Amino acid sequence: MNRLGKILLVEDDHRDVELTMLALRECRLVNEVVEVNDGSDALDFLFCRGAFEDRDPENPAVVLLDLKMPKVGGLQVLKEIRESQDLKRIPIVILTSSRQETDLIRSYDLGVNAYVVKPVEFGEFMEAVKQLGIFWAIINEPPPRG
Amino acid sequence: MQEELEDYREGLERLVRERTAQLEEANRELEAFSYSVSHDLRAPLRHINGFVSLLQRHSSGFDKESQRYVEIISSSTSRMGRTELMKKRIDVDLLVKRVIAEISEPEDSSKIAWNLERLPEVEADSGMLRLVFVNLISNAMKYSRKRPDPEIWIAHERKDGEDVFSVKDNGVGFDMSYKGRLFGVFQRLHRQDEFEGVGIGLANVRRIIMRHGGKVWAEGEAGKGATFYFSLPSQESERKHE
Ligand SMILES: Nc1ncnc2c1ncn2[C@@H]1O[C@H](COP(=O)(O)OP(=O)(O)OP(=O)(O)O)[C@@H](O)[C@H]1O
Ligand SMILES: [Mg+2]
Repeated sequence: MNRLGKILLVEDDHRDVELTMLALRECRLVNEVVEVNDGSDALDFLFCRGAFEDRDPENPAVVLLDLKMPKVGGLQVLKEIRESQDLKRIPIVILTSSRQETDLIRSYDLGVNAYVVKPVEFGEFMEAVKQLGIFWAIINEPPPRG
Repeated sequence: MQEELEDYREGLERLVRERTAQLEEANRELEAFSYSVSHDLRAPLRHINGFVSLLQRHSSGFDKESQRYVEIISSSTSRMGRTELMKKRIDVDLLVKRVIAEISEPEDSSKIAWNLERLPEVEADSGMLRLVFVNLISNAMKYSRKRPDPEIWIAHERKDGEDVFSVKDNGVGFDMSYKGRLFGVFQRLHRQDEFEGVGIGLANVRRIIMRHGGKVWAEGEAGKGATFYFSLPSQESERKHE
């Protein structure tokens, strides 16, 4: 099995951040989680800009991306990642409250790798996040560096 | 004279078409609205649910009363947020008898001649299936109430791998040309001063049955009565799909 990849969590709601982090911590993935709270910080991180100019250059193994965020929303982040030569292969998982068809279609059209609706029930939520974390950070083979 | 009548009829028809279009539009808006409301409720509900569950992890330090409060909050929120169907085996026969006992006053229930076939067990969400029968049976009672000899039939048939249930009455019935409207939100074929109601009962029935993978339909004749049907994929055929 591979070395643990880094997870980028893009989520503006601190309550969801806390619950998500807890789930990842319970499956011991937490050391590798970078948390940002809006779409523009996510882009700064990914493009090594602004506050993230000197970040460790390894790209995340997966981005867990919320859709509804102020300023730059999840779909915009997804679009910019897919348009970038350097970032376009990074696996992206939408993690959202919305099961609206238009959001689903837009996300898949933009090349999302998975789309997960946050379960309302706590046990199911924890389970979903753990499965995602383990699959994308450990089991999945990331794109080669190039 | 003939021409005038013709004009008048055309005017009326146009009006009906316009009104129908308006109603359909309102219906779609309402559905979109209820969707967005339920969506907006999901996030806070998820948070309450999550943090109450976390609180419960510490509950061994609580006194009895506090433990009980936390349990109540927890079970209420998980019931609210339940969007998945909780399917289990249900004795429909028993369910229907309970529903009848619950919704009918002794005096009108004894006036009604009930014909209940023996109903099978099915795999469904019991709370939701209960709502289906509450709506269909209370409609049958309501729309046959003005007859001197109201009669209601509840039957079942296994057909093409489906369990088909029907609730039939000998009440006022309805005009079959409006059958497409019966199951829409706020759609009513009878006036408020004839029969009270809001017009959401059958819309809920339809939604619930669709979520179970079944269908709803109705037959009726003005003045003669109505039959409402719904189907559920029967267990054997569901297994084949898996
Ligand atoms: N058994 C029946 N016989 C005749 N018409 C019926 C029967 N059941 C329903 N209908 C017609 O279908 C319409 C929609 O039914 P639905 O149950 O959705 O609404 P409702 O009974 O008017 O109000 P409520 O929301 O309180 O149930 C009714 O207004 C009535 O015109
Ligand atoms: Mg009704």
